[in-house]
Amino acid sequence: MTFEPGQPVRARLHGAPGHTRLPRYVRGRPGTIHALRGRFRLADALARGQAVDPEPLYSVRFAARELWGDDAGDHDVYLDLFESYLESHVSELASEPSTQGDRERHHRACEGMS
Amino acid sequence: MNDHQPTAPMARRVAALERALVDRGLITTEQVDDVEDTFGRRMGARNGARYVARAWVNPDFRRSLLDDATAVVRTHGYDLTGTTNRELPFLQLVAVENTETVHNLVVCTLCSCYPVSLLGPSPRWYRSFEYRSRAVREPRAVLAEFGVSLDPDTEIRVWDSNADCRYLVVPRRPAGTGHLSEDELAALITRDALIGAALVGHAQSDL
Repeated sequence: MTFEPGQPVRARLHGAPGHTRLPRYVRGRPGTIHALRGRFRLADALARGQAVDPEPLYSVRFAARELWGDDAGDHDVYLDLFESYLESHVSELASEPSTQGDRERHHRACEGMS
Repeated sequence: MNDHQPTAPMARRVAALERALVDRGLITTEQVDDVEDTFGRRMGARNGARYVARAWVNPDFRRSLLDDATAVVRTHGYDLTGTTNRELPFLQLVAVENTETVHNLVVCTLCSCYPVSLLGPSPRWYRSFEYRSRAVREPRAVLAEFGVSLDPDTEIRVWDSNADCRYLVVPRRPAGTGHLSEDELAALITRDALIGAALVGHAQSDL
């Protein structure tokens, strides 16, 4: 699965045990592919001494409110995430939840899907 | 973990480690001196400032830097003279430009990733838990504490250099600097401005 700029994605909820470059604060959160950074070896595998082929690394944009809730600022946070950290975001869930309750149900629904 | 082992001061521990490695033939004192020289003197924010100053005066260079900073640095070297590439670590660089409507701030939430070759060793605050946790959560408040006041409509982009890429902020060129040379412009650009934690001030001649 490769991604294109503008495509909605979601950071995986569960990281690999041990070393990872997937920060906890984006896990399970919806974002948007901003750019392809190139192909790099997955840091998680390198840390375990595994020989792996390079994979796409994407710049992914997250709205602060998707990360921290409705009282967050209006800024965006960009992270560089390996393809292994991402899954495509189902379009019907990509619509903005309107209330905090909706948002929590929305996240629960997302988390139940993987 | 109740037993607290006595520890020697950091400098003595480092010296003992160096001696042990040299005694076993794993490194030489010349290599240590070379690394110290590289990180302490040859790498520094003046390199990043040179890149930004050239981008300010040369639109083609600016475009190239914003399109593919990695390629530009490979071509021109870390100090813009093209001579220092091979000795220095590999760098994947992304340049992000501040504009009238956008302000960029760089952080590494997982550790302290940072373009050392262009900025020198990172400041202590960049490595602090407080900065790393707050920069992504409340960048406006963090910037205000740095003395950076932005228009409320300014879009803030926070770049978490959490993986293989490093980020260089291209600050806005201050007004009234049209008469300055590239070197004079570079002298205005601070390390913190290249992280996004400061703006570039007006020409010193105004003082």
